[in-house]
Amino acid sequence: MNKALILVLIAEFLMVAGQICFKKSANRINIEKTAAKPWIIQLLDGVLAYPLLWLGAAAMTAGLLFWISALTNGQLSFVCLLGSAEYIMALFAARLFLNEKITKTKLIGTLLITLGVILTAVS
Amino acid sequence: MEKIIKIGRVPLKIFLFILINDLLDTGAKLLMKKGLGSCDLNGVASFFHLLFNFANHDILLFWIGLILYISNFILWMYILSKIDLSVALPLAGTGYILIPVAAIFFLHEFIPPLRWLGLVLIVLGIYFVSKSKPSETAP
Repeated sequence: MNKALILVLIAEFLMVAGQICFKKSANRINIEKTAAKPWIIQLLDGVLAYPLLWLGAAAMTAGLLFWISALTNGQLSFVCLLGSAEYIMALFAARLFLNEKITKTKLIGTLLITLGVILTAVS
Repeated sequence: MEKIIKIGRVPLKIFLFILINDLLDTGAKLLMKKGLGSCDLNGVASFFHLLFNFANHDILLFWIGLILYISNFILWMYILSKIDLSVALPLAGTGYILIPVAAIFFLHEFIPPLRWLGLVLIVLGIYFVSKSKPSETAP
């Protein structure tokens, strides 16, 4: 069980890091309603030129591999249970790296979702 | 000015995109798993050989899944360009509800009371998160 725990935590860490990179890349996208360039091209222009995106994709892939190895080392419900920690991790990571505020409503909502995921995982 | 329908402070359009993102994500993963499922794996070399072995028609499912996965990523980037990460991620947890609800309606599965409670908490949580103030002035 301990091995699965460590693997899940590493996986979470990598996935949250990946999401932070994605969000930083996404912040550069500013889609304008011009007919000259369709929105999808504007999106790809903004995204693909940004190295952080590729770092994010690498972190995400590595995270997924850790996740899979966690699943082969532990029970599905146990891994999903720990997986719910991702929301709380993301909340603090977003505050640290993206300056997203932790408001009372957001904190309450995130905790409720986490608790809900835990309950659906164990039942 | 055009009136935007919102759920909490999140535009309905973005909310629906998150739901579509969840569904596509699940679909893509299932396809990839199904595509690889019937194969024996031993080592990286045999893995790559397997991926390009189109004589095995199942592997096409894997590739369709992968293409779906990548296009879904573009949708996710669009969502992230519009709302905070700390809002988008919990909202993506809606997927946790879709599957049990689908199981109730289509498979007539029994849902234990504790899981019902979990589902209610997730819905409540989504309500709160969607109401939280965005930290930056969204475009």
